[in-house]
Amino acid sequence: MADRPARGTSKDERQGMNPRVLLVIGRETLTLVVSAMVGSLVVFALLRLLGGDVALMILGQEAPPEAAAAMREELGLNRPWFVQYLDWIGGFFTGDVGRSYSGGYDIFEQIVARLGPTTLLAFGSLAVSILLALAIGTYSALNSRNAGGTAVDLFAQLGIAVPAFWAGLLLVYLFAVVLGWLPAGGYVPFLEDPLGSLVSLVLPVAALSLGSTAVKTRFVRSAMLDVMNEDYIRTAMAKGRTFNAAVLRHGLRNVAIPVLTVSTLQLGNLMAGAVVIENVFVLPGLGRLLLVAVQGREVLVVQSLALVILMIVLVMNFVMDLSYGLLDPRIADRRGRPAHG
Amino acid sequence: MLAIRDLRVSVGALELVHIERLEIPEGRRVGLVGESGSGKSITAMSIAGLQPREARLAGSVRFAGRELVGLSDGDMARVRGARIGFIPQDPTRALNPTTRVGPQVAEALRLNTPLGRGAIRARVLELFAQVRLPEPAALYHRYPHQISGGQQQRVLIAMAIAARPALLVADEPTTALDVTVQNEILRLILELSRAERMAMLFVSHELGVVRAVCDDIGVVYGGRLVEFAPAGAIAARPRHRYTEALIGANPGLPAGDEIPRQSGRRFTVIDGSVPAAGRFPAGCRFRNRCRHATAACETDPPIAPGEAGAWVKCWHPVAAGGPP
Repeated sequence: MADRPARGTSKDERQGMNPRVLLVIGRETLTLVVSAMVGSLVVFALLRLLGGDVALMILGQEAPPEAAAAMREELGLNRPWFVQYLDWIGGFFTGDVGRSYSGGYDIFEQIVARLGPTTLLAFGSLAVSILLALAIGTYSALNSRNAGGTAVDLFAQLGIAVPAFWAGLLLVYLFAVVLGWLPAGGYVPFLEDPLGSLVSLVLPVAALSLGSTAVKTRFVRSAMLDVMNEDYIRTAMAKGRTFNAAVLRHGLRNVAIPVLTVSTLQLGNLMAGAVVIENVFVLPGLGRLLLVAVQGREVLVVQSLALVILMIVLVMNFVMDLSYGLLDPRIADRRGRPAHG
Repeated sequence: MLAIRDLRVSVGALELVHIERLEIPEGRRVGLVGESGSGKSITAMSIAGLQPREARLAGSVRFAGRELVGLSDGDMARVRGARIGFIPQDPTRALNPTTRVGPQVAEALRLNTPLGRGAIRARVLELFAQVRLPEPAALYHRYPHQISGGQQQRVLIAMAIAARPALLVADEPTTALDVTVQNEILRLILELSRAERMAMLFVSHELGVVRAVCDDIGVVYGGRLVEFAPAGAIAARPRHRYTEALIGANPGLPAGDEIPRQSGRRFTVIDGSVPAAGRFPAGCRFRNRCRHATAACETDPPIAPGEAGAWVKCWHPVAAGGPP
């Protein structure tokens, strides 16, 4: 414990981007790639294991064996599994995943066209729920001893109990049917009309983020109540800040770290909710395509959509892990340290 | 400059501290010594307006002609940092883990001085040099977890003296540190308070430490200040029976000549243990552990003034002039 400076040179840190941060980014990227590979294999294997003959699904159970064999040949189903797997994955890079058996549309084209609404809905809901939870949870913690805080807590509890589709229907009824302020459904592409696009997403995002906001709000509240008792809040007050200013200035960032962890855990639920919400609000996203594909038993479409949704979750996870490391310098030091160091 | 009259700190119906009187003249260093849980830290924090949120203050704390008890958090915030500096007990928990240490000190200057960005930075580096931190320019950009506990305490000291306050409140500033670092930090605090002519309220559970740093010493037991005297007098001629017992229980600290310094040194043990807050006897709070207690002790003893501003709050004090 000698009074000597710790490791690291001053120059790196002055520039705010030190080798440790780069190492963290490298590591997270590697994690992302490996997860994507394993995930795609699992998706591929699961639908194989479900069994059933795709050729018979398309042609009907009564189809003559020769026709079925011809169909299998045409679809490449008689090739070894790893050839099929590589062919399928390769399709995502070449832009040719195949065509829908019954719909006749190009799967890759459809996915690209529908990626917009789904990512906007998912990322939008994620951002909205984190920001709202931080604001409401902090307010509730600062007012934990009066009516304001209690009311917020009550609403948060209600929010947790209400399922997304039900909240969606209620919101549509109030804001679209009764008040007529917002569209009840449908989607305007972002690039054509950014403002109109955001307006069309207000209700879906509200419905989808309600539940996760409520969970996070309660989480922020309890994390904030802990942070309030930290010594560094008292230090900030000793410098001349009021209690509230000290908490906002020094508590928020420390609370944001655990909130990100919770948000990461909620990502799966968020995407599942997005599928439902897209169907409630008639958004032309991946979730709607998924529902139609499942009903039509389109194995290839379902499999491809599962992979895309998995990738969205992984990418969000990647972004959150990165910001996690950037928010908490202790984590960057720990993760960035070489294995032998 | 600081004058306390009947300061009461309570949580709900429970009164944690009742300090009848305490004065800190300009530039003077006053120590509060007592066991853990005696209320000495709460007293120090209350003076700086840093008491726990659920605590309520009553009575009077006059600081530079201004009454501090009853000030809103906003008004008190203008006194904190600018006029009263605070050095915390545990430096490893007192810095924000997500912010570099330089900017954390700069914040104190931004809040309490009219300096601009460049001047603030220069002043932080100057302060770092003053508290003898190595390589101030490099250290400015470190995170708290990247520096040692001793360095963290130096950063906090730099923060406390940044705006040149008139009073420095130090709440057991070396308790959480390595023994080797403790002395350096003590010497630094003493030196700074002399150089900047800051008055100081220094809290510690070690009488030896307080005696080395302070001009006057107050002894706290059960949330009450029971004796107050110049630092030299209190160890040599304790008057309160608790102070006497405290010194007797401290083998490293010779009280007068009766404790031999060599091995096999004798020390006495104080009977019983400190009661929990709210469980103290009525009257003299020490009487259930005191070997000299009589029926008289069931009523609260008055303050009996002695020489040189000293006083004792005891029905059966050690006779002035030396131990019996």
